[in-house]
Amino acid sequence: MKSLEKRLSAALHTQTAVDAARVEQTVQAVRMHYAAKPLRPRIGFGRFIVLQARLSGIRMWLWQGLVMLALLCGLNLVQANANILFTLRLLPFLLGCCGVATVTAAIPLVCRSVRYRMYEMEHACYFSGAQLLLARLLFIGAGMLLTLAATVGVVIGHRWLGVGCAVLYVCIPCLATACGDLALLRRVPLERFPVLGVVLGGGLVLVMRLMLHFSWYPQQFGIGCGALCIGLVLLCAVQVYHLAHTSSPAMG
Amino acid sequence: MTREDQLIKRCKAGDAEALDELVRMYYPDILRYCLWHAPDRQSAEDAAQETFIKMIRHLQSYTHQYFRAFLYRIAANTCVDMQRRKWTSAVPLPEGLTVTEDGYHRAEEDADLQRLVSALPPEQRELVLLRFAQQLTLREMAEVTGLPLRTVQSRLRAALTKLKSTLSEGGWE
Repeated sequence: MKSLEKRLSAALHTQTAVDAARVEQTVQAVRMHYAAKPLRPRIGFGRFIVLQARLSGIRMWLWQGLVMLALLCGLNLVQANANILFTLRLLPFLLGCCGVATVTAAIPLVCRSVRYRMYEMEHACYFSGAQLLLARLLFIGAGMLLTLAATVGVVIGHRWLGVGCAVLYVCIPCLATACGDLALLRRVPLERFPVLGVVLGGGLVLVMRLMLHFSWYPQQFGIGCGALCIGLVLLCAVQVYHLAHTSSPAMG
Repeated sequence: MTREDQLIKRCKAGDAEALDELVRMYYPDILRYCLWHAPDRQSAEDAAQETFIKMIRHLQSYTHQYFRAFLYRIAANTCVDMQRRKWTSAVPLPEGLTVTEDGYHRAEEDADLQRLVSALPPEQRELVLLRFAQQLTLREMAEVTGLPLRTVQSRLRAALTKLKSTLSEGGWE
């Protein structure tokens, strides 16, 4: 077998006569192509996020800042115009509404991201449409976190509620809405997403109103509430993972 | 860092001269490979040129260590694409046979071997060519063909066994 291999090498590894003019022609063609489309430096996702923050993050945060301002003004208005007992009774529901409103207000931002499937951006950079959506979701998440922290801060500052209760009343509705919206984004066509997102938010507000009516609100932050929060966070993470890695009606 | 790695790094940094050197360095090997798959020299030269243009297009995504395998994979895909578009299915004998007066017997033997290789099934012929005409390592061949290393080894062994038996049957040994 070894001798056959040697014979094959000798027979097949022949010297190829190379036409110098043709080599030059190839070199010129490659050069022209290189000059027309120079290689672009590759950037990591972290660097991309920083660049995108300047381009689209600031506008999104401005919008979310306006939402936050409206929520805080609303809370202060209720507190100023109602007696303290009424405010305290209504507060879990109001905080829940703040959580739902914060997420629902981000729906136009997400729709804007995927309306044109960000093809121009996708062609201009090395990231897929799904990864660009992920970047936007990260910006929106950061803005929401700040809004909710400010809301909780105001509640604690006025000594209306303890930290645990304030976090509980804001977090669970907010996470439930986020979970639902992300699931919708994965499963329904983009044109139906805004309407269904608003319907979901409205439905959750209705559920909270019923809970208030029947006094089903938990009075303190227990282990069950913590587990529910963790479960919802995990569910959100799974939805985001699938949005970034698999196809969806929104991202194709 | 090898000379080849340095050139690739310079190419990625925008150095056009490094690109020229890289093309000149690999042009003969790629042309020889294309000659095996093209119906004539003109088509082989076109395929070689197309391979280097595609290499530029995909160079930024090249991160692994087998540059030769990366380049041959592009060449293989280019040949398949061009074959689908216009080439005929006939596999010609490659150029460059050593036909001198005193080496006439050797040239005849080489031509026989080349004919036998051409008659192998396509997947076996490709492996024999990559191994013996292009002198690629088994790992590089696995990269080019996208096959597991063990499969490359077994297919190559099967091809050699087949060649050996054909040679024995024909009384060429």
